[in-house]
Amino acid sequence: MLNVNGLTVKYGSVVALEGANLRIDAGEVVALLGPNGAGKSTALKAIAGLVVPASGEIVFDGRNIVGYKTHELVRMGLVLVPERRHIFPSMTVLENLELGAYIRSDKRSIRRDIERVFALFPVLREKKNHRAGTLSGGQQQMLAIGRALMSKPKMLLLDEPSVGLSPNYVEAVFEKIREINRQGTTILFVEQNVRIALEYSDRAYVFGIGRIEFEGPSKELLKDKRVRNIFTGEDFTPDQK
Amino acid sequence: MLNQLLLNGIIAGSIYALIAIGFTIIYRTVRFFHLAHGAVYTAGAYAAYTLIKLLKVSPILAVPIAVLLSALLGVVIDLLVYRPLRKEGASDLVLLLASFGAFIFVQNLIQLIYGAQILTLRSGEVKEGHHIFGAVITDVQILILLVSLFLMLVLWLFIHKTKIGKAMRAVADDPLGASVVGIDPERIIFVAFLVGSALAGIAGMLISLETNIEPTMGFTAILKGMIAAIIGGIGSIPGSVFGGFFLGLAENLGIWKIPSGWKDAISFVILIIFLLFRPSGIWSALYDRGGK
Ligand SMILES: Nc1ncnc2c1ncn2[C@@H]1O[C@H](COP(=O)(O)OP(=O)(O)OP(=O)(O)O)[C@@H](O)[C@H]1O
Ligand SMILES: [Mg+2]
Repeated sequence: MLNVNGLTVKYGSVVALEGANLRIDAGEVVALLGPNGAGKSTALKAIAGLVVPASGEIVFDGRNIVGYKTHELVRMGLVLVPERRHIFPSMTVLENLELGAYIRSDKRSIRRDIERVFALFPVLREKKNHRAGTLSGGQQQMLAIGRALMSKPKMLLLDEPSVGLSPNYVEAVFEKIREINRQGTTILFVEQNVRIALEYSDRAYVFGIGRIEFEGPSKELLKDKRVRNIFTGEDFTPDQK
Repeated sequence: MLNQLLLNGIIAGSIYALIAIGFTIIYRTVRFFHLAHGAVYTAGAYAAYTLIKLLKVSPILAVPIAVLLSALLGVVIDLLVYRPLRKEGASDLVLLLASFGAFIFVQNLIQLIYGAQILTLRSGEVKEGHHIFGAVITDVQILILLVSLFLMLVLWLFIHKTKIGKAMRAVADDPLGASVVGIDPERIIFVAFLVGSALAGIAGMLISLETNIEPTMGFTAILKGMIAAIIGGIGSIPGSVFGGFFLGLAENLGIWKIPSGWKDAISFVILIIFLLFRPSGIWSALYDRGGK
């Protein structure tokens, strides 16, 4: 579904990501992990059209999408839930969800999908007439995910959905992400918590600074020594080959 | 006397509010001060003058045409001046300077075509006003007030009830959030310039029913509009309405005690007081939405 080949992204003269290759098949849940500043968010931003790569190819659904704008990609079914959520704080929960369906016009099925989001995140129904800015961090994260679902994405990109959430909430949010995947949405997410990331994904890519070091099925990576080094809090130093 | 000043303040305030609302709608989507908004206001007055006085078009037809021309002028300024700069990733300061340049350009163009002299759109003898509560209100003033209030209501419905209006609020709230739901920011900017400039054009036309028109009239207008927007907490539409009326009343009540030559100075004193003590505006204090 998504193929990234030789992706290099620079901010000015700083190379944030170099020669990254990713492949995500339809129906998968794939995690990106690695240390701070590795370029994980940069990879998602490039895929979502928020930064323009210096070189490389990003193929989504058979089309090279480099140069496409974020809002155009949403129409193609590729939707980002950005870091820090970026919900609309002065608007109500319901209005946020309605705006999630901005690219759609089928009023009746939009209503139905709002009900679906409420079924997935019951707390949003309780708060539907509250301004989104008044929600707790966890509720805002659910709203951000719910809003993204409203555009009926084929593939959802999530950048650190667990940031700022209490531990109970983290698991809950990832359970929901699993459920969304079971309903047919392909998922690529970035997550700092290695255990969580590997538990809730089929495959994972492990980043070093500015590049991808290795990848593999999450079950195997859980036992992988190189990954365990991060687990135990040791410095993650990529192999120098 | 007091009632008359109150009334005058409300009339002036409704014009300030219209300018401030248009300015704010645009500010919320582009995030810089579109000073050329003042020139669009001037252009609205001259468009009406040209159509009604020079081309003898009936006002019923002339007014919508002039509104449309003002709206288009705003859009053209955006397309020719701001958009190329936006593409280059220009800073807010560069855009502010460009907006000042565009303001001067349009103002000089108007002066070149019509000359610097004062023109008037008013016709016929000045009618005796109506007496209410010891104050006198003219038909024109009633018209200004009704049109302004009507436009505010329509605008409120537009941004709260229509899809494009909600998208405009979304961009104002969080531009990145707006783009990840599929909103094209350029489309919203286009609509903001269209709607905001139409309001400026209407304000220019309304004022030309009351006073004379001249090429430099946009300068005071944009200053007052900006001050009203700042009083209201920059970026807030209800705040701009509030700021407009507040400024109009403060100026007119001020001259009750202070010589009327100081009227413009009053607004600057208010601006400075706000910038020093309450840069987020009063509206955000009265209203818990943080200026939104
Ligand atoms: N807008 C920017 N301008 C300049 N440099 C940037 C920008 N965004 C990121 N960088 C730099 O690019 C590198 C990669 O950043 P990125 O945010 O992609 O890392 P990350 O893996 O997501 O890290 P984190 O775990 O902290 O979120 C870092 O060195 C960062 O400082
Ligand atoms: Mg990141």
